[in-house]
Amino acid sequence: MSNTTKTLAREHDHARKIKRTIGEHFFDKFNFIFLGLLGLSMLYPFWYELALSLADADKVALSKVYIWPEAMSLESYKNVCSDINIWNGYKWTIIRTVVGTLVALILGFHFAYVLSKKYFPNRKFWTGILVFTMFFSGGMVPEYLLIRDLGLMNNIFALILPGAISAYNITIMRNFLMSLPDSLEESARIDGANDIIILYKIIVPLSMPILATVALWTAVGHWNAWFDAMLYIRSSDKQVLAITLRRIVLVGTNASTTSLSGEQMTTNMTSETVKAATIMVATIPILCVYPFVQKYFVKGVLVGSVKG
Amino acid sequence: MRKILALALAIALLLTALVIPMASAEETDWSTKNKLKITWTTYFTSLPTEDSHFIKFVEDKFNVDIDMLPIDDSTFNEVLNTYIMAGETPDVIRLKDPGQFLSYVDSGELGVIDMDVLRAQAPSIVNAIDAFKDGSFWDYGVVDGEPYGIPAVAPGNIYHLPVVYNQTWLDKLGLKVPTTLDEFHDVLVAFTKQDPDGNGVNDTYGLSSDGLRALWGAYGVNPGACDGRTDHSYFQLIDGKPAYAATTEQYKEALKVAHQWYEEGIIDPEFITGENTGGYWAISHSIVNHRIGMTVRGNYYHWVMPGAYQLIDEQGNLADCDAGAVAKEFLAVNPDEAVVLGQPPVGPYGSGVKSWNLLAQIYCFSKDATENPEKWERICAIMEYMDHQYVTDRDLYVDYYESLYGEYGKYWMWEDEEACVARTTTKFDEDYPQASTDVWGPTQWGPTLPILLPTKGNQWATSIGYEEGGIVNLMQFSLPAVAENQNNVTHLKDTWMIDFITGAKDVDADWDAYVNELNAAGLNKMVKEVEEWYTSTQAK
Repeated sequence: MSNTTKTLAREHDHARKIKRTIGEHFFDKFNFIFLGLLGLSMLYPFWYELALSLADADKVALSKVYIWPEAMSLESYKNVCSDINIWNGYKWTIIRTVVGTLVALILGFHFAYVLSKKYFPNRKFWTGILVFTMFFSGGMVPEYLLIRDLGLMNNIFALILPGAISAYNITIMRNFLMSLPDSLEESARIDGANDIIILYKIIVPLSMPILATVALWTAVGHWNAWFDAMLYIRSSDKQVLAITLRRIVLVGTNASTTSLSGEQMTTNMTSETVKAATIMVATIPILCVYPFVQKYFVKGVLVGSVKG
Repeated sequence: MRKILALALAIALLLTALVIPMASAEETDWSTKNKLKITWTTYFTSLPTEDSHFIKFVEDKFNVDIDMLPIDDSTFNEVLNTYIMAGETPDVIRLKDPGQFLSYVDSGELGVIDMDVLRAQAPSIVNAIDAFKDGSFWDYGVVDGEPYGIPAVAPGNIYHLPVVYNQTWLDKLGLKVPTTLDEFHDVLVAFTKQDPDGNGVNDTYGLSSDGLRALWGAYGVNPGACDGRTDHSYFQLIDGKPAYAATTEQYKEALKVAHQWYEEGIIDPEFITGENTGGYWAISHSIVNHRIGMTVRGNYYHWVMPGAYQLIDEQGNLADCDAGAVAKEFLAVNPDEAVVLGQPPVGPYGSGVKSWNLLAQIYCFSKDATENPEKWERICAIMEYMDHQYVTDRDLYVDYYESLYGEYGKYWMWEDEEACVARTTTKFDEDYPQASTDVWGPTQWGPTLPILLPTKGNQWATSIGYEEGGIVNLMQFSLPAVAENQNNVTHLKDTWMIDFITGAKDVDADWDAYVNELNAAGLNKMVKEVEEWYTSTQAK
């Protein structure tokens, strides 16, 4: 930032300070406190799980609310990391997230680009076909039969292909692409560019915000998805992380497990610290993705949604 | 002479014919038979791998190829329905919720069990169910006179819910564990008014939502706690007729007392949200955090204090038992305090607290499994063998442990040799760190058997009288109309219970409106169905 702009900014601030009324002042304070508390209420549960995962299960009461455990131990993490299912789960979750996101982006973006062109024949019809899938689905059993008869049982593609075309994401991308001025395409064409060059050299670089946004949505969706994996994946060495996480975390939260006999109840009980450590291990990687796409995120959603 | 010889031969033949079928369950060599593929569902906390110890063992011993289906407990019905509708009914289904059993039978996807084969191949299972309550539990698996299911009984549920008091508070106030409702009331008043935690602030109460079970029990009913999570519809025999517990006159009377107690301030005003704030279900955070002084939650073994009874440790010496899962939490927060288990207080209609249902699951089978004699025989044999973990026959028990857990003394040892109760060793935990959660594989292949193992813990519970005084649900499973309507009805029941207790609604003035509203939500259908079921099957 140059000196001139700095001075300008300072003057601007100064001017604003004078103009602010008492009401505005209090409103700002209130906003600050309210949003701060709101943020804190979202952060604290996460922080609590982190603290719990680091607590020494034998020494600390797990039902108490605290900021930091008095006795620390990495035992829970050792326990979680020695679980072969966690590592297998990681492998398949990463594969499904990376491949699934790539497939969804490549297919989706091209679909959206075509639909965004006003001169595309029968555009309304194809858009209608796409939107139709948003409101009507075959249901679980037909989908299961389809996957089975395609021979995809126990195959990673059973988790990737059914979600490869997302009508919602494609609509958002189409709207974004329609907001790009037609003159871009025209001028490129005058300069001798063909359709392929226009798409990959002009449109794709301009579409980074929406691509990043949709990539993030899809990736998080794939990372957290479990129900399809439970239906289609039969062998534990191909199972995704979310399933393992569910099983570990849900054990013992529900009184229906009381039908087990006493001995099993106590030996099978996973401690709360191990549950917390599992949650940490399973969520931190996907959280790390957020900061990198954050800057595109707001821009992408806004532009994609405003124009129709 | 010839006649005698012929007779002797005939007798010999007859004897061998008699002996062979009896021995066959033990000695069949399955490896000489066809290899079969069996799909199985059972309980596990983590999907087993193909080479999980238990699965490999079963596959090798019984010459089968096991496909263990990855059904999660919390979405069990949804996923099972998908399999069934896709025409892939699992061969062995451990039906988590016995209430679903009738609808699956109706769907026509389940096979009728050949009881003769079951009897021959799985004598331990059949004998145990025959011997329990005159074999009455078989009825739960019978529809229109045909057997479709094998009942799995949780024998530990003969013990009623624990009535837990903070012993340190009782001692400090010079009180004893109350035995009558009046004494119970006095204790609650003292817990509320006399600052039992000694912090100088009036911030304690007598009881909360779960503790109210003791009051309901003194009026002879169990309408359930009002947190909507731990109780479903309770039906009881009142004057020889089945009745919904939460619309009985007894409950009405008890509600008036509850309201009075609420006015006195001895019921925690936060009882509306329940005593458990999340995490392990049996914990009452209210008692752990010194809000209240008594509760009725979990099972007896959750609240056992360290040293309540003694166990034989690995060196063969007597050692104090560990704290139960909830007692451990209580002691972590309050290291110098103790809890004590009492009996439910006696009131105008006797005493009692809820017991969990004895019928835990129903095991049922695909048509393919029951109509293919070879497959059915194999399934029965596998269930029988894997159920030897529940029996008290020493030879079978030892054989089970030796084949599945390994060497005696290294991986397992006796906890009580006379009673035939084994335990695994620390060496086992070291060598198989994932055994309880993971690669070890599922252990419940067949139904749990109604044989109460005389473990030290169970003996202790019997010694404090917990076998007696439980209020048992007349309906050990839910009939279709009950399954369909009970969520709405329970929700309304809970809302009204809160309103009656807090005084937002008057017990006398609004009682009819309450009953009408429940009936409109489907209670009358539920009651009618239960009455029909009772007159047709139970009231013989």
